Amino acid sequence: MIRYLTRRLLIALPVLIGISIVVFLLVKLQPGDPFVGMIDPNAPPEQKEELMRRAGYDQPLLVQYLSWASRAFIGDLGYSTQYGAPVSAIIASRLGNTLLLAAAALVITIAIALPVGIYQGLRRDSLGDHAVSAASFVLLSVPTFFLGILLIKIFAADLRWLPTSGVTTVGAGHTGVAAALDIGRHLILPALTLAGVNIAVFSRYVRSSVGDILHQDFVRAQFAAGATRGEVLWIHVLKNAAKPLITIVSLEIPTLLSGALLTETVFNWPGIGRLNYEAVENRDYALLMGIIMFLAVAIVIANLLADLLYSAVDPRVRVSS
Amino acid sequence: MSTSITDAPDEAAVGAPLAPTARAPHRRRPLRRDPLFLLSVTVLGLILLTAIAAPLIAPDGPNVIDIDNLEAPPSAEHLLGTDALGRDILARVLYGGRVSVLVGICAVLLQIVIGVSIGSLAGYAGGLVDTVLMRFTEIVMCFPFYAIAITLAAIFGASTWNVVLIIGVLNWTGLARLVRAELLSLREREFVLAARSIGVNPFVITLRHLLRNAYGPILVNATIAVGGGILAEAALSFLGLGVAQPNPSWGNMLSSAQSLRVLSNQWWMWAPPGIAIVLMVLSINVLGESLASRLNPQHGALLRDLRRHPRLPGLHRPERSTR
Repeated sequence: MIRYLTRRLLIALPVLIGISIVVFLLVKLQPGDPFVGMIDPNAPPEQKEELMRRAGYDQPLLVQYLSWASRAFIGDLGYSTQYGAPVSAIIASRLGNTLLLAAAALVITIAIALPVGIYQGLRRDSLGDHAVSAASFVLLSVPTFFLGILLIKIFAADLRWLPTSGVTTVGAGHTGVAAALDIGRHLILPALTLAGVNIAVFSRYVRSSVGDILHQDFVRAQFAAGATRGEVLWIHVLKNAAKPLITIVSLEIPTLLSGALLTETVFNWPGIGRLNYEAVENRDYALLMGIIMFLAVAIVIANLLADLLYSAVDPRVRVSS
Repeated sequence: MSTSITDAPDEAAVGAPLAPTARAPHRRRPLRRDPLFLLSVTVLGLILLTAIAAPLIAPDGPNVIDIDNLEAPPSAEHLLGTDALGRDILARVLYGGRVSVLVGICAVLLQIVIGVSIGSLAGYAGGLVDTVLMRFTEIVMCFPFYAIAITLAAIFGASTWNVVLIIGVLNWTGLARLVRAELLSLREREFVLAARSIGVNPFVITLRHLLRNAYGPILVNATIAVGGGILAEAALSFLGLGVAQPNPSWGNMLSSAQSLRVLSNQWWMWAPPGIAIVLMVLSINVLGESLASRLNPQHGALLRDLRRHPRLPGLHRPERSTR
């Protein structure tokens, strides 16, 4: 296990370095320089050159990269021009909202997809299975932002059951339980939107997983030995069907973090995705670079987690690789 | 006790749904009699036909402004009404379809060029080349798609061809891995050994013998990727970072729905492009699925490699390990 872990970590390292190089080059491609909006356009060019030199812009690209990377490594991602605050502090301040949204979406996904997928796996090719499959295909074909718009139209604009955007009701001044309920009401629609695609994908994995295991020899042996349907289903089938799901859930984490960009934009939800969009709109490159790097690290960690969890529940993986 | 464990238990005893009978033989209808295939091809054909025939249906083009009819509801004059600038929605949906489909197809062509080149180089050459290329592929897979895409759009500007480039350059990894895996198994076969032993050059072997045998999975992957490309275009254009006004695209037409007033009261401005996207992508997905079930009856295309978010990097695809 230790050897496997070391191997995976060693593979993750060059991937992280590679991403950081690409992100660095991307931002270097930006037109203009970071001081365009910061100094008086009538100031003598020498003054600007002095600033550029002090910021290290006259250094070779490699030196610039190394100094950026070493600072990024200890968590110093630079300074946002738009907010006038350290990038890492801004990301941290928005992270809570994104995590809340992602967690809610994950809970909704599992709560819907797991029973639906099990039902489909048990009754393959039944009318119900086909109906749910058709629904999954439709869900997979609706753009996330359009799903969000439709939910706003139905539940917020027409029925007026839920708020259209934001995290809290502005000026309501709720406290305690009332405040939590208020956030909950704001959370429902964006979480459903974010969960939409995942429900379709997830339920199809469960369906295939349950269906495959039902036909394995050991399940047959259980029946032959006289186990009841319930015993086989709950003890053996679901336990084995759950294994690949662990991987799927860990792989969903980065999708939930970075895929939230559209959902957060549509619902005006102040998380990382919305911040990402604002950083692009305002050309806040330090912030942008910080967010992309943060997301990339999250993706690499989630991949690592997926591998480790999967090899923990299924030792065959370790041996074969 | 002579009961063999391969015998199916009594249906009544264990209940029908759980009865581990032998897997039902997959129906193998010919493609031209598969109802899903026929339905999806018909819908796709109709959408493409109306997009191609756009100049015949709406001879004035998508940008004519009818100043007397701003935000007008559907009427005999404007079958699907007009937008805030008085432009005919029907004309914009038809011309927008041209742009959206073009972006989807071109982006996938770019993905095929990059993905097949890298995948076949890695798969055929093996060794160090393979390791380096696959590590590179893994790096690209770890890019958060929308974050990088909107950054690129901000740097290079919002335009139709930039959208094609962005989607193509970021989404080839699935194809590369697929091609590599196919080639790794094919290159050990006797016919490749035979070709090599009579001195056929590696390029010809890859192109004529290996890729030709792997075209099925590539085709399925590419089909579904067109749907993914259209969705990505719609999202980027919706954010104002894709196809730029006044060019119509289904995605940028949907931007109007960001206004709550339009969303509540003026359905004709956002419902037609929204329905067009869903119909188009749905029929592409169904087409891909019906093609995939021909290659591998056990798992559909959407399940195997082709998630809409192209970020399923799992070094061990769970469904691969459990097979």
